[in-house]
Amino acid sequence: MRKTKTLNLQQREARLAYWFVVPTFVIVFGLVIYPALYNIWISFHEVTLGNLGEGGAPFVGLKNYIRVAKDFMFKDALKATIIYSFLGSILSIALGLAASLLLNRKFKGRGLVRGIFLFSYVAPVVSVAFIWKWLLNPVNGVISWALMSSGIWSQPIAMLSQRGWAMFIVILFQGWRYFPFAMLMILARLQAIPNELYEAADIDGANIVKKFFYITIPELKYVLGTLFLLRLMWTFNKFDDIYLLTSGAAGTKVLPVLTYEFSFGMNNFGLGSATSMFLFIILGVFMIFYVKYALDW
Amino acid sequence: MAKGKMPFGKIIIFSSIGLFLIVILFPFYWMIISSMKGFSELFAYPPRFLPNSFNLRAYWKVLFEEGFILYLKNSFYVALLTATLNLILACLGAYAIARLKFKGKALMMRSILLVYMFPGILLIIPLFAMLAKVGFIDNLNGLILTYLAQTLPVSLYMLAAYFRTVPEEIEEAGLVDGCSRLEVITKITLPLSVPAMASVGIYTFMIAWNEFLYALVFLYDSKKFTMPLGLVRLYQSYHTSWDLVMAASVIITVPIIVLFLAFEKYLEQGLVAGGVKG
Repeated sequence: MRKTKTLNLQQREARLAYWFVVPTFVIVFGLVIYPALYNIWISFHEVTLGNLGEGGAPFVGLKNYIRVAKDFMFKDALKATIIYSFLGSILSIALGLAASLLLNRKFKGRGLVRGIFLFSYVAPVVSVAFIWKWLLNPVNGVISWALMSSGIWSQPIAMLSQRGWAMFIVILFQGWRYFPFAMLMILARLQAIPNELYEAADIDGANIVKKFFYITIPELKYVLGTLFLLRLMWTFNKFDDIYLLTSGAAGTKVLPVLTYEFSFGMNNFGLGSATSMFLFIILGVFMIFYVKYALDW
Repeated sequence: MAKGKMPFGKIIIFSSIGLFLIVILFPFYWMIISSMKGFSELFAYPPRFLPNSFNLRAYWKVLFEEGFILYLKNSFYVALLTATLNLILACLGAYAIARLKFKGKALMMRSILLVYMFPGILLIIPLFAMLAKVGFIDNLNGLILTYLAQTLPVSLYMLAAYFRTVPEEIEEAGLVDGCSRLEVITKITLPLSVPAMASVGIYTFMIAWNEFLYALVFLYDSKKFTMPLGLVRLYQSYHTSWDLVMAASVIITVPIIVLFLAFEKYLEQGLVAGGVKG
């Protein structure tokens, strides 16, 4: 008791602060940082359903990593992941840029339009994935009907289960679902560009294309660079969208889906962990290079 | 802007906006009318863009025969509890970070933000092992804990940024008047921070409501399913009953869209802060 009394205000506040942060810190440490480290441990051990969560799993060194790297699915999955994440990110940013330019000037109903533009991003991924599956249904889907009756297709194509088409669709889905995130970030930046720049360009007689490339794009450089980093990071690790749309069929098996299959399909958790570590390392190396060389913050 | 040339430019701009609107809204429109078409109309050829009848049978079937009442209850439980606990813990933590001095603050802030780097897919295996060990598989509270861990860092960051904008003088005046720190927080800081709290609460609710991967791995017993899992299960058991699948999709989507329309201003902050990580 005496000790508590002699604490001065500063010490009392510091103690209070600890009480305030401890719950958050414990949860985040226990359920993010500790498991991230534990994942490394699992990747070096032979972990199956039988010894999951026990300490006794045999140490196997790099065996899991070698098995993953040699697995016939790995190379395809890596390629699919890179194509999916690069093209998906670029498409969502390009669409976001277009949408933000369209919404950058005032018009009646802009607030409403802007709200609607966010629908695909806020709606649950499960429901929009199933809507797309229904729209793209080769027999009864409305898109199949439209392409057939307009004569573009002579016979229906099951786009979600055909190589090439499936990748095209999941990338399109990326663009459709995630452009609003890019739009919001770009829009915030666009509104901060001083109008004088455009007025000065008008005086110089610059046309709209010139103004776009010489004023808008340079002003957006940083936000576009950051967006690409964020979108790529998130798409690289994305599981839900592809799992729901194709379950990884027809050349869309990306590394996150492979991770899931190794661990929860085959119950080989060591193999799954090693796959996720590959994902982490590849992305980490890319990001270091990107931040260092491509992104001049 | 050269005013004389505008009409042509305007046509292009407004038709582009129109195109965007169609591409965004048509899938949602199709979901709604498909859920209300009768079974035969659903597969009519050519497809009907305006249904003849509005049939709510699919909703009834999904809710009462396919267990969606229960999934709805589970989803609300998980999302509401995640949002509430997140808000309480993040308010306390963010206040400490914004206003109080303590050792290791910078380090703690940095390590918490590092969490951004660890995606769900990297954590899913160790988390599964940990939850299995303590018997938290098929436990909604275990799911809530993992959602808290994923959402707290962004909440902390958003709220701390907001708390810093509350004038310190007002809080000091409260302290001088004899309020304790806790009273200052509950009577001064929090009432002034309602907008930021609304953002955090709503975006956390949305994440918990929409989340799929963790629910897929941690829940096996269909009595514990959240809505997304219920929908996947429904699809897997009736491959061709698109009216049911679409009705269930409407039921999952509507609460989120309503929430979004009602609180768009607040939700956007969460979206820009990257709270959705998607």
